[in-house]
Amino acid sequence: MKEVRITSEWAKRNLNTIIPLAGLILLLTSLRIANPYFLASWDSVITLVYGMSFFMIAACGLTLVILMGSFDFSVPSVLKLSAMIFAVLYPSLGFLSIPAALAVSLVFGFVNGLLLARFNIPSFMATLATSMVAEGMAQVISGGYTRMITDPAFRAISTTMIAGLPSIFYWSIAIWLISIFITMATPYGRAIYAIGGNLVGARLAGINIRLVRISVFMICSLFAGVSGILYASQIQGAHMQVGVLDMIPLFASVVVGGTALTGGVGGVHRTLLGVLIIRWLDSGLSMIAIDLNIRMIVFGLIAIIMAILTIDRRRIKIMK
Amino acid sequence: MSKNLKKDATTFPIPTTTWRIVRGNPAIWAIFGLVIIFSSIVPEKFLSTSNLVAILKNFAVTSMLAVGPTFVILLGSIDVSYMGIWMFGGALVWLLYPYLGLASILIYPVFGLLIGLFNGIVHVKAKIPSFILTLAMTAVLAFLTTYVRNISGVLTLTVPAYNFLRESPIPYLPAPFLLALPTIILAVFLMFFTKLGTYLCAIGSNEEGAKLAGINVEKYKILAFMFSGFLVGLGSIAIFVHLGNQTRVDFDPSELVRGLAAIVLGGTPLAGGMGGPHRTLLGALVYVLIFNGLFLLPGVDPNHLKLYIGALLMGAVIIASKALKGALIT
Repeated sequence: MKEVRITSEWAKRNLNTIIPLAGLILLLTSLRIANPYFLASWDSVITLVYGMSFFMIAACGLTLVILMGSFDFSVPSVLKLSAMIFAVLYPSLGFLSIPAALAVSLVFGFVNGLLLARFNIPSFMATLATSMVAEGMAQVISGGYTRMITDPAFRAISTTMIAGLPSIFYWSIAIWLISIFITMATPYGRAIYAIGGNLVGARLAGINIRLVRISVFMICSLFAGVSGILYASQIQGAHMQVGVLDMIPLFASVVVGGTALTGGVGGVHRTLLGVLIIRWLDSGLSMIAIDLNIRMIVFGLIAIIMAILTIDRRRIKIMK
Repeated sequence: MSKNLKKDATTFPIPTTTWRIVRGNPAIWAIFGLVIIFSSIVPEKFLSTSNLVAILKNFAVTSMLAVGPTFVILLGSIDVSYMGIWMFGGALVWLLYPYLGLASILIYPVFGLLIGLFNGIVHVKAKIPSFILTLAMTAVLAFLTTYVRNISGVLTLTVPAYNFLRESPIPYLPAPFLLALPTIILAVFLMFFTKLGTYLCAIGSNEEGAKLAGINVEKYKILAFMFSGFLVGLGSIAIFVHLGNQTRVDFDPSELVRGLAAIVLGGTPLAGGMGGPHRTLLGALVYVLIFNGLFLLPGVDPNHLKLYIGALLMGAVIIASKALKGALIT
């Protein structure tokens, strides 16, 4: 059996596992000290689950893209658009509006992937453009108004209680497990890691880079779409502020989990830790009445610091 | 077209004749085309004096956001911290006005320089992708601006004492445009009359080669970020005056697109290695003309603005992607 010795070398190698775990424990204890009511009752657990679940689904998709070394700026906008399509079409189409919203999300993912893989445009630029289009479409189809749906069937998708927890929790865990299965147990998942680790090597190994890139962006947007639908069901409708403040926390939670921005390092399983840290921090800070803007600043700084710590610099010669 | 662009990258970037300038900058064709189209469809609206002055003002604002970051794009990196510098710099001017008086406007370029220095050092030494770093920087500074507004209990961070800057000494040339001129001149000077422009192109097209040729790559990368921040800070004075001696206090990513779109439309490819601030100026003019003319047309709904911005950016990056062939893009 291989002996594991805790040395500075070992600590350095496993830095992106140690920091999130230590951060989580530190966060939990300090939040309990600062506010004794934090996670004290089952109701507060349910509130936290509601805050985390839709976020978790979107973060899983973003993690897949970041594992590939790319970036998807359009996740919150696609989330908003999908929520909006679901809420706007629900009165006329009923549950047929779900496939419509998912189809639009998939189209956005396809365009993102195509712009990167076929036209060779840096992904953040391509997804910035498509996020603008998604925002514009959400504005056009809703007219800028809040859409409220009071139908109990609409709400049931996310809020049915199963074993004490709302159904959106089980949706998000299911999506998380599916993403883990894709990345850990399939050749396709290996291809994602390979592309993130070494693009040229992956191409020489015979991986169809164009196909993998386009499909990963489609999965990411699909997850964003699913997240939007569940979120609309959770909050009883959709409005133009959905997802507006989600980009920085989403990105921070992926990076805090230990997935390196340069790709190939980390995984979807780690994103759960990141999401727990970021959402607990968010609710903990708002419990002790910290301003929303300050919370966003904290997330931005955490993201930068964790990005510095997790990137494996030995592999990279030129950083653009 | 791509053949000409390639030639541009290997030779010294000053075109010698008018024809070479026009041939090497497709944005000039776009400007002529847009002016002809809009002045034939809506001549009385498009060619009115007030509209032309508005175009000049918007040109000043858009180019001031884009000229500085062009230097970083030459490297193949990207700098989107301009939103943060512009927003929080204005908050700093407002905060420091009671202590420094009229001189507090000078905090803008100093603050830009410091943020640029920080970005450059972190990007070069810690090796973080520049887009992520500067995006987080913009978010931090933008939310900080909103926070300053919130805790100080005012609606806008206005400094009325600078009202004298808003009056232009020359008729028909608006004050923001005149205030933008120093930044434009400085940027073009840095590009064509110092080593910086040439070296940045060299690093952008082949970093290993530039290192082997004896260029201190790390130093010039940090310098590029510094000048980017400095030029944005200097140019933000024009935007500050244009907005009525105040700064924006809420973060809107569509403003982020404005600067990037101007750079890409001008013909500086995102992979770096060619182009420069002179092209960004043309790109800014194209961007301003498109959105100025578009909303003069009958039946165009301003509610669809974001849709048009996104579509334009997508089209621009697709056209510009010809120059990216062969580069490793993530």
